[in-house]
Amino acid sequence: MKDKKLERIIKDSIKGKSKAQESLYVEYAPKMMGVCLRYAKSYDEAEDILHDGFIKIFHSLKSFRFEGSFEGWMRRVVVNTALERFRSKVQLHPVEEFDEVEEEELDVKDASLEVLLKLIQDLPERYRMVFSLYVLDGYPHNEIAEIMQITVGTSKSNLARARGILKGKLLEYWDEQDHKSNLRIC
Amino acid sequence: MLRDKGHIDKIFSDGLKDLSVQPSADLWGKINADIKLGRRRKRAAVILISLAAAASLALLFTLSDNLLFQQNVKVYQDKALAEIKINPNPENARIKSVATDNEVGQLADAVIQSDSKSESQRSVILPLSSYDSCNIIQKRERGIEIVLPKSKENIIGNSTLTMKLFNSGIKDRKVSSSVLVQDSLMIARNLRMLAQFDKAEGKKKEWSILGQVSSSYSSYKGDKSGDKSENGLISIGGGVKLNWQTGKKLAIQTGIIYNKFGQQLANDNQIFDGVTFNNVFTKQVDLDPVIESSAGKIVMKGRSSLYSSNETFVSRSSSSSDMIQSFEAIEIPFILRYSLLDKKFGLHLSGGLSTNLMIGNRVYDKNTRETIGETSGIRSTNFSTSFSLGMEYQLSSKLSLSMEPAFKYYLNSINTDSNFNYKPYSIGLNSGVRYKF
Repeated sequence: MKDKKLERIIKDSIKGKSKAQESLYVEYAPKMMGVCLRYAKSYDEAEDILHDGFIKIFHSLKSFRFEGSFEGWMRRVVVNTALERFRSKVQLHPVEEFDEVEEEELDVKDASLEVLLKLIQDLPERYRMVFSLYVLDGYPHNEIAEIMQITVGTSKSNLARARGILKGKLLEYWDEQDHKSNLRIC
Repeated sequence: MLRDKGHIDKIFSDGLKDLSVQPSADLWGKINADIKLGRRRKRAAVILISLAAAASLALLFTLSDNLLFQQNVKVYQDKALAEIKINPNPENARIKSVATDNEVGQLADAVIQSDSKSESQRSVILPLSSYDSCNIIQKRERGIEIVLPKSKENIIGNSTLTMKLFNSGIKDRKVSSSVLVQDSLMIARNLRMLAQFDKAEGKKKEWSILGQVSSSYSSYKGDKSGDKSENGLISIGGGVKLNWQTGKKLAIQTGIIYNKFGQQLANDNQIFDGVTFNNVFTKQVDLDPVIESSAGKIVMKGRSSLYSSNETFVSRSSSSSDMIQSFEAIEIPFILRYSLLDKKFGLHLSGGLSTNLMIGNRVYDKNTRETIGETSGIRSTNFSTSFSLGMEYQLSSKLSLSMEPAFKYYLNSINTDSNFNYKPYSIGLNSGVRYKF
């Protein structure tokens, strides 16, 4: 969307014009749904986050100062919505401190988006949050620690745990795929 | 083989970073409905808060009124009792000798009770044997009922009191004369205090309403650009103003005022007076001429006439007489009023800005008052400033008569056409009545 057109749509949306709000939704909902899916454990939960996220976006649209990327601003609002949802579940976890583990090299094979998404969604919630924030949305550990109300060490250890689980499951998946293809050859 | 340390991260970020998935089709409907619901709730909350604020204000006014009133009644009771206890004059001595201990004790135990029938009424009761043996003075304008011990004799010792009681319709009943004297002193004091209370309360009144009728002469300041000679117009208006006394000297006024202004156009320049035609056929001619005045172009309406061969054209409207170009407006003023003198005779300086919503625009024949056209391009909302010197005469604590010479001047040209710079002004006299709540 061109800058001027986008600016006009945003301004109309601030005024509460439904058509403008709908065009913003149509334009950005798929990308934001992609973000939500990485923080949710299911499609339904992702839609709930998207729903709350868009309500929040329209509510706080007047605070957008037309500086920087609008998509980036929306993404941040949606991520915050997901984190609020995570925090509202009031989870108590023991502080986990791990030394950073050297990552092993990995034979990379194909994995569909569905598989990758499923692996992330199957992660324990706190690992999924840290992994998505750090790896997919580029938040540094100190910021993750702040927004998730954990220590930097816990953030790092959660990330290491998430990586370990994902790697294990990915290898498992690839082995399974290899096994299936060997059976077909035979 | 991936050599970098973040390889697992790369697999996921490459795959999922720009993931784009279409949400279900009905999601927008839900979001939109929730946004509208939120707006409705917000509106409802605003209305609710406004209503609550209005109700709170009303309650506050009611309570403060009641509390103020009660406080004054209590003072009045205390003073009355003090009078009984402190001032043992010969009259009182006689009371003691004549009245029984029980009666004096009952006098000292005078109590104030709320009238159970009406919240706005309070009763000051000097209890004797029973209500039906009491005389009752009602001070209706204050909603106070003073119940007195019954009396056999006329009250003649205190002329002021006698008059008050007479005015209040007190009846003679059977009671000991000593109690009557005691009562008379107390009642006289109480009535004096009530009068003082009235005065004191009058100063505290913050809200008042003014009904005004104004008579004004209007003319204009601007470029003279009309076809006809123009003179000012005398007209009558009026309205209601709400006055809020913010401090001892300063008050804010607003309200709604109808006013009329304009000018007389003398017919010294015949543009479309009767013209003789000698046509051989009959036809209809639509004249609709346009006259220029300083306020704008006057578009004459419905001036088509039928004429025929050898007939003299007669205009339907008698354009040969003078015309009145009149405008009517509803004024919503915002005025600051400063009291120079605030006694029985008051003097106030006022000044402010007004929004004028034009509700009438017509040009009519001065003699027949028939509408013959209107001024084109008149702005629907105009702004004016006004200054006045108000004089007030207080008739009672609540009612005042007012008279106010005023000057009003339009800040903008009332015509949207830039060729006309017509800023009317009026000099008038507002007179009316002010009622304090």
